[in-house]
Amino acid sequence: MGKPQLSIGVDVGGTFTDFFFYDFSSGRVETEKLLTSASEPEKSIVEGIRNGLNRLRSTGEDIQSIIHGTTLIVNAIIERKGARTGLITTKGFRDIIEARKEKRYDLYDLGLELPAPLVPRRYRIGVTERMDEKGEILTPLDESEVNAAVEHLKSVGVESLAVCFLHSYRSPIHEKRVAELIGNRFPSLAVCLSSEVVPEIREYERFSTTVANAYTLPIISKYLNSLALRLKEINYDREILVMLSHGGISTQEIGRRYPIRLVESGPVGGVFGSIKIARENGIENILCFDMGGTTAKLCVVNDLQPSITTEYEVARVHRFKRGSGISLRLPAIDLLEIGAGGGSIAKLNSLGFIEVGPESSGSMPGPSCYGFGGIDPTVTDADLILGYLRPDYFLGGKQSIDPTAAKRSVDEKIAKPLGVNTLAASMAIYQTVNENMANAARIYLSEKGENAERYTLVAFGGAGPVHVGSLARALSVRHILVPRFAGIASALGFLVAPKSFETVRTYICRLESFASAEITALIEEMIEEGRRVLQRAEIPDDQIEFQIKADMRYVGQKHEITVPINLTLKPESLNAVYLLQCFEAEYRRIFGRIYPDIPIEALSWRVVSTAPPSTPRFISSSSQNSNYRDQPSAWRDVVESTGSTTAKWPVFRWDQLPVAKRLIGPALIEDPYTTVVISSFFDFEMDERLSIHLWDRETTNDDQR
Amino acid sequence: MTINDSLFTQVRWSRLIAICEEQARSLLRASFSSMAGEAEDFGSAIFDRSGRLIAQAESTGTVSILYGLVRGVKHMLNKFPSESLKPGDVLIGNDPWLFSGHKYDVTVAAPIFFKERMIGMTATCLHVPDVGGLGFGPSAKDSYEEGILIPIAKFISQGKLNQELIDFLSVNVRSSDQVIGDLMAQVTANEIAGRKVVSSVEEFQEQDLERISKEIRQRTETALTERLKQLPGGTSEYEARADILGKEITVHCRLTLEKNKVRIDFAGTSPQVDKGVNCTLNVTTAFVVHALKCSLLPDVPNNDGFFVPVEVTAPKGCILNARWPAAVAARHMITTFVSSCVFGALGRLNVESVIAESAGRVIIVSRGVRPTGDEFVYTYPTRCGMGARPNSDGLSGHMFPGAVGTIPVEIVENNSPIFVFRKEFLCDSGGPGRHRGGCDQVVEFKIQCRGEASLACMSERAQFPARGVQGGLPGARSQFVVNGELFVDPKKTIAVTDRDIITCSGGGGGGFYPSHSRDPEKVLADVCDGVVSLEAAREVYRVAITSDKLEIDWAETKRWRDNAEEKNPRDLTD
Repeated sequence: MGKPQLSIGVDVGGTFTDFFFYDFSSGRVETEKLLTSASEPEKSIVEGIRNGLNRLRSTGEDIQSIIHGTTLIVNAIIERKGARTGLITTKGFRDIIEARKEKRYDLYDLGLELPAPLVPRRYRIGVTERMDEKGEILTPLDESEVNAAVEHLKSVGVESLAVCFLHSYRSPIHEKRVAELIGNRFPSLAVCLSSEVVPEIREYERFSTTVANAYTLPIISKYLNSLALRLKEINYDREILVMLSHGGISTQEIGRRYPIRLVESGPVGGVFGSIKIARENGIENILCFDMGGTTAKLCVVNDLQPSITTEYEVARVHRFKRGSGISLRLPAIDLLEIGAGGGSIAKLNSLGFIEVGPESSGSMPGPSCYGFGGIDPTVTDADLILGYLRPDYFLGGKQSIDPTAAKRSVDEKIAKPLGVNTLAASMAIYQTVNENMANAARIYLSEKGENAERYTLVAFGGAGPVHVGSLARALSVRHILVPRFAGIASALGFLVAPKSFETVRTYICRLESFASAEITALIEEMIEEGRRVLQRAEIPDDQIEFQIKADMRYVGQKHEITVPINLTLKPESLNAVYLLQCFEAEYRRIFGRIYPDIPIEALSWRVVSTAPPSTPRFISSSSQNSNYRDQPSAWRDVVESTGSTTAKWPVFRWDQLPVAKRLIGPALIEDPYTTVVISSFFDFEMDERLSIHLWDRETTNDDQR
Repeated sequence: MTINDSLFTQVRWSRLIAICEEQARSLLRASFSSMAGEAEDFGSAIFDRSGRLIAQAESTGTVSILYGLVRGVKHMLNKFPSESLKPGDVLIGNDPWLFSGHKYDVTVAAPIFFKERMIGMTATCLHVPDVGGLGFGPSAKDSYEEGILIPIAKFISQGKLNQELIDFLSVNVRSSDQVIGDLMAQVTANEIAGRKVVSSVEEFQEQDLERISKEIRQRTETALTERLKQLPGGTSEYEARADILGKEITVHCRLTLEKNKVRIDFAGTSPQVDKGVNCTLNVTTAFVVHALKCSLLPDVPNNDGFFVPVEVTAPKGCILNARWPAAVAARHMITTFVSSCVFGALGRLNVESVIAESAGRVIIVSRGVRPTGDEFVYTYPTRCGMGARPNSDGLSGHMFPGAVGTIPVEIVENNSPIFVFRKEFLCDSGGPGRHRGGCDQVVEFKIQCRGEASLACMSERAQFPARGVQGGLPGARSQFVVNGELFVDPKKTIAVTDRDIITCSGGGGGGFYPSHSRDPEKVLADVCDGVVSLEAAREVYRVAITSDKLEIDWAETKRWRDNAEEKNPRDLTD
């Protein structure tokens, strides 16, 4: 056996940090999960890596790459825990981020709400300056106003600034000058320019994305700096790769400057991990369900391809409806994120109804049962009381959780005020959070015109397998798949996600006056950039593939379509006739017709650089399960759905479950990082890759199994 | 009905709505004009074989467009019965009396065929940039001055485009490329929706849409009548006043809630006028139905079942049931008051789910010649103050009862000669209340034209501001000011040059409950954010805030509030 060559996937969640170690030289795997340090998440990363290295008897020098995703960004936005942020904008336009598109997203809902802007009006200051739509200066920048504005914002404690001027997508001069002025006086103040974060027309989307970037930048940059330093302590001095929201990977420098591109970097890993499992099982359409400590995510995957959107929305505030979140203009996996996780806090509202989330207890103090001083009842507390979790086997026994503390908080905050017993109150919490997720899922699916029944629900994340059965029943899903390592699936997914990087440049031209030489030069430049990024990720040159795409439309249209151009690496052969063919083929595919008489223009050019996906096989089948037992390892009291009585459920250890043997629920299957809760509605079986399948007995015929 | 049936219905129902949403998004992406591509001024819907509405896109569309489709598709099938339609046929029409009340909204509809049988219709209605005539605004005296009327006709016949009709339209409208481009986008969106309906019907193992249509409509009708049974019942009246070019218009509504019926009659409303602000009965009904739905059944998706228990009447020849050939282009100036009256009357019957009056919008319409010599016509809508709700403030810079958005400033400046100096909320413009009305939004601009361009900045609240309810106070009035001093009637079309600076705003929303019951912390936040002044905090909200540190003096506030009497900064004329 040669020297170890380790690849490590690290997923930093709001509550837990998950690790997956893979040694390419031997095929060995190792896992780890520990609480995320709320103040210094990087500390948890290094601690977890150290633990894994020790168990693998390796050192930092053996690590070939670290790929890393985080929900820090999205959680900061959902929980409003970002930096105090100011906005400097064109005088007269400071309300753009609050007036948004001025569109009510529901015609009939009188109670409709919008998210509060990330920068309150008092920290939004307009300064004298103006560009026209061609990028020419109409009114020069008033530098003294800029200085006064920055001075004021600094004095009220603003830590980060977004600079968003009208038409800056055409000319960044004024925004760049503001950055210089700020840099001279307050070099430590974070500054984000809309012309850099998203140089695209439409002020609301550009401003909103830039503001969100500024809001999260101080958090990520402090974190990445400190992470690099700490990794040096364990002799890791290479690139720290970050996962981007659309599934590509990039260097930490990109993450530091554009944290908002990492907004869904955590969940992306789980989606790719699920796709790998689905492919191995011959399943093409899956619904990924990831429930962690802070949030739950759902993502539809058709034909093993996740859908990517450039009109993304985070932190929806009103019934999960489209339009009720903060708009982000960036490529991201089209997933739904809701404030429902193990740490979500349950409380009674003014009507005496139980509400769960979106507030989360995080890792500190965490759920009451963690014993770190949390007094609010959470979903995990309810799960523990109901008997789903084993007090002495949480994180494989590394952390003890205390049922008495859980009961105390549920009693005080829910059961007593409602006049019910602890068990009934806990069951109500469990059912409420499940119903919240099912409602959100229905809206998400119906927006896509999809029907949950045709999907396999792939469940992962620490709390996913605990809640998936109930969710599946609410959505009429028949088949559930819980992959091996479900509790840390995102970290695993980072290692199987395709390493790809997308570069975009805007160069507007009509096909009839197609500037072949300029575009060719531009594309070659982008190819070089993609090559550089992937080289830093240790991809050999000859393995990188490039795909060219163009955003095109008929002249006069307001929205463009992204047209794949099927040239693999010959930008010099691009010409107007070929582009016309590509555009018409794609337009016809989407809209069913073309307009031969209307001129066509291209706006932006994209190059996607991709390395072939690595397809490690983590498990040599059944060898790890040689010590299986037909009999459960224990029996545990579990509360029944009425919340009034308990029943004995058999408990299996995941690594002792027999392969390819059909069993009947109820049952609990435990591994160190999660528990699969299987109610009596389900049959279940473990396949040879050690994934667990659940079938709803009422809705599944034998021939469907 | 078993739980399973119920679940099937739910899945099918939401599938059809999702198809309408996709139809709307396709239309958005394929359209050519800013009103469609940016502001989303259009609607999309699916109908059964008899032209009854089954589903519509709920995230977009205007009140009048959506109801216009409901009436209009039935008229289309009267003229072209379903048996006579062939695959590949597409129908078109914009008659204000048959569809949504003005010629700008053009409806394009196509039959859906499954197994060689016509099973339903899919339709879109879109506000096109121009229909000829005097242009968008209230200036026309009659329908003939308002441009071209397209009687219900075949736009495409078995796949063959009606080129004569297109040529005829092209020479009669401004910006004809955009108009025709938008119509073709509607055809495309209908095709996409039609294909999806067919594959869904197949998947549901149905023969047509009749069973699901009946189920959806019956459930909706039952839900409404169940809701009516819970209400107190009775009759109430409500009146709103509008000002049209110096003439006062009264909208008078009498609403009766019965156990299985709602009746609304508009006797006592002013007669129609020789300006383009008259409403056809379709439009009046649209706003009644919308207000009732918001108040009584907001969660149930819209379809024909909802209209069965609702009866809307208005005397023929009144401004809410205008006779041909009344001018109707700017009927939105009156429809706001229809909505206000229905909510006002519901409130008087102790229905709690109502909203204070809203100020809505300004619609800026200009046409003329660019410095380059090219002609232009452009519509730029901006949104103002929405009324307060029983549990929350009105939204600032958003409108009600409509839902359509604005056009980004950067798009406006790229696509039109309008140059915007300023677009922001106005301090003290939201009607004071425990829940504050939404803030008004001002737009300051010039038009970079050659010579003179025509300009209308249509708003509704110049004389009669949006009123509050339950003790809430009215919002600010709208304004239309040229060069900082010349106040213009907001219904007027004027001539401007590129040296004129125009300032306009649409008004603030009305407040809900008395202003001195507003949480002082919220008043403080509004003061810090510059949307409520220190004087208004003191005089209207009765909150003592120290002007240096911006902190609440709680003791002083309590003293003021204990002695509070209703006081309004503005002269309350109504």
